[in-house]
Order: sequence, then C-alpha cells, then structure tokens
Amino acid sequence: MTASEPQKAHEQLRRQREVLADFGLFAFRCDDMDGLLHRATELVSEALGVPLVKVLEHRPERGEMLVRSGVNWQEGVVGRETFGDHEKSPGGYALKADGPVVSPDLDLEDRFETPDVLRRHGVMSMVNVVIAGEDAAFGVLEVDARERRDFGDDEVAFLRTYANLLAAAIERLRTHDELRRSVREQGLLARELGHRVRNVLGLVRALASRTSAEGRTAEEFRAAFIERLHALSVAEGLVFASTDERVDPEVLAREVLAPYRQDGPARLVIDGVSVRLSARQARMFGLALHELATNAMKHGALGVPDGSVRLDWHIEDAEETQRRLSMTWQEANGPEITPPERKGFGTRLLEDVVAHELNGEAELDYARRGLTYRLRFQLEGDQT
Amino acid sequence: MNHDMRATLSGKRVLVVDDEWLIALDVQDIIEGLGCSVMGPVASASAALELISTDPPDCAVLDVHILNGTSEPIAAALQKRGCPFVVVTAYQRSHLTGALCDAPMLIKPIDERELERTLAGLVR
Repeated sequence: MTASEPQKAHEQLRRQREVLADFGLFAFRCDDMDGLLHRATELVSEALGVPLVKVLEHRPERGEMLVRSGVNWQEGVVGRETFGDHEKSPGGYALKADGPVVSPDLDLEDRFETPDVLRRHGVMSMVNVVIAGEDAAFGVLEVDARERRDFGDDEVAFLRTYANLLAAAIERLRTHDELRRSVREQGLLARELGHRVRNVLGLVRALASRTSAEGRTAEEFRAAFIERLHALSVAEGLVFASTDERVDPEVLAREVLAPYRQDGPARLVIDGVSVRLSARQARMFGLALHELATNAMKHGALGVPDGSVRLDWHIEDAEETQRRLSMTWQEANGPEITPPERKGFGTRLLEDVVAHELNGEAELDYARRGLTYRLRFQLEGDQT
Repeated sequence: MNHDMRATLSGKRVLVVDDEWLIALDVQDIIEGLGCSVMGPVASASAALELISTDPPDCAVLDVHILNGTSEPIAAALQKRGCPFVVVTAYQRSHLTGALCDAPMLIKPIDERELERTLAGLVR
C-alpha cells in the first residue's frame, strides 16, 4: 500500500458523504420523478467514479425491468431497454436476493447471465442494490464498471444508504401524485354533483308545476305532490347508494310500492328478473309505478277488497346487444273502469314521458276487466 | 302578467329542445301558457335540425346536454337564420361552447317569469 492510498480512501468517503447530503436535499425539493432518478444516477456515478449507472424499474405486470434512468449509456437504452425480472437477469436476481449483490468479475459470474447491452458497453463488474417500495420494491440501482473491481464494504454501504434515500423520495413523489390526482377528482365530483342537484331540482319543479291544482284542495294537492316526490326520491336514493349508479327494478318496485302492499304481498305481486337500470331509467320506472299504484287505489283494483295487481317484467329475446325489458302491470277483480275524459299528468307520464325517456313503447289499456299497462324498453349498458 | 309581453309572445312559435322529457313537458306547458305554440319538444340535434330546416321557429329554448351530444349545432343553425334562442343549463356559462356562448342563459331549475321575460326580449 502506498502512502497516498489511505488518503484517497478518506477523500472518497468524504465525497460519498457529501453526495448523500446533496442528494437528500435535492430529493426533498424535487417534484419530478424523471429529474429525481436522473440526478440520482449522476451523483452515484460521480461519487464512485464509475461511469455507467442506471435505475431499473420493476414492472411485475409485464414481468420485466425497464431502464428507467441512467448516465453514460448509448442512445436507445434509457427509457427503452428492458430485462426479464427472473433470477437469470442481474436485476431480477437482486430483487430476489433482497440485499446488495456484488459481482467483481462478470466472466466468472454463475448466478445470473450478463445481458448483451452490458457486454456492448464493456461492463466487467457490477453491484446492484434494491430500491425499496411501500408495497413491493420499486426496482434496482445498478452500478456497472468497465474493469474488474471488487466493490468494498464502504462502497456497498454507501449504495444501500443511497438507495434507501432514493426509495423514500420516490414514495414521496408517488404520494404527491396520488394526492394531486385525488384533489382533481374531488373537484370534478363536486362540480358533477352540483349539476346533478340542479337537474333533480328541475325534475322536482316539473313535478310540482305539472301536479294539477284544479279541483283540489291545498291539502290534496300537497299529498299528490309529495307522493310523486317520494317516488322520485326513492329512485334517486337508490342511484346514489349504488356504486355504479345502477338500480335493480325489483328493489325499486318494492320500495315505491311498499305503501300499497301493507295488506300483504298477494294484493300486489311483484315478479321480475334482476337487471340493472340506468339512473334515468330508474327515475322514470319509479315514477311510472307510483302513478299506476295511486291510480289503482283511486279508480282501480287496489280500491276494492278483492282486487289485486300483478307486476312482472322479463327480458325479451336475450340477444347480447339489444336486450329489451318487457314490463306488465295487470289489474284484476277491480271495479269496472272507463278511460279518463281528459289526459292528466299521470296519463301523460305513463304514455308519453316514460316511453320517450326510456326510448321504448308504452300502452295503457282501460279494459273493463282491469287496467293493463305495458312498457317495453331497451336496457342500457352492461347487464352482467 | 305584463300585457305588452303577452301581446309580444302571443302566437309565436317556440322550438323546445330538452332530452329530459319531464322537464321538456314542463317547459312546453309554461310556454303554451304564455300564448305561444310549441314545436317539439325534441331530444336530439338531428330532430331539431330537421324541424328548423322545414319550418323555422320564431325562437327556441335549448337545453345544452342532449341526446347524443350538445345543442351546439342547433345553436349554429339558428344563428345562421337569425333566429334567436335562450340556453337552459345546469352548468355554468364557462361550460358553453361555440354558438351557445353569446346567447341569453337560464340556470336550471327554470323560473317561469324569467323564461317569459327572456322569450319576450328575444322575439320583440
């Protein structure tokens, strides 16, 4: 050993400590992942006096490790070159080893194979350390020397500290990104909610102004309006409660028709398959059921002791893309009925609004033996 | 109701575009109550454009987000014919694009008297 060697070693240690401090501060202030990783490889290269340094990002879903960042590599390597994440690649081996892997002479290395791109760059020895992550490792920090070189304990310790500092900085940036995204989403959601509230208020206004006040006392008007509002709010409530804004008509029918089934379910039988209605379809379906039930109570089968109603629906010709729902409301054993003289809001809703909104057909048949209402409309979106 | 406004609006033909049929029905009844006749209501741009090309209205009430898109092409067609219109929306003005931008705007839910005043201003 020459006299200058301890001095050189001392100088190198001092330099490594400086690099750690510099990088720590840089990482703390940096808010760009690519900038962070690039600076990381630059400083490691400088501190160890090794030109080729890279960060491999593990992409488990693709079974590969991408050269995410690096210094002094030929064009086309950084951001492009990938290695398998299996044990036969240096990076994959480091991930599994879960500790620093030193390879002082790649010609003698038998734990993994040397990728062509490293041979092309004349790499003879290497040391790899894992960059940890919150759930799984982010990847591997690789230092590649062009000469045979035994990386000493101090150098390996430096790299481990460095990689851990880098891991913390990466995690911090990821959390920042997630927070930023979530703040953006919150803002969008709040605005979307604002539109929805305004739309629902528009519907409430329409229900209030279309509920006839003619020939009614204020109390009767209030009752009629509040019942319609109830049907709308049941449907709206179910839309809000579901995670995908879809509503099962059976749940909806049971809730809207509950006041008419207090004498037992036989009075108003509900029999239908489980499907998924969109928000708009659910609102219209709920309003239609309410109009039918309140009408049956006043003029039809639900107004007499022996009368009954059967509500059923099924899917017509179950072709994958064009599935239509066919619903029937059939009253039986009620009083003799006659068509109303003028078309009130209830009739308009059942015949025009519901059919239009659902892009389907509605048919209201005032047969003497009991009213029949048929509704056919196309189901929207995925039904599975 | 203001007599001048009523006289101005009497007999005018108003195109109503809204894809929420319950709201369209409401707007239709309000407008008919003002002595106007309603064209439509229609729920899509294609249906509205067909009406406009065969039989132009005196003015129009446009919802912004309608079936298969927005009312922008309807607004453009109306503008070309010098036919005035009012935009009804649950959104803010900053969301309006193209020919919808400069028109008078009402925020949902509709206020009847505001709609009346705006329509009277359009066809005067």
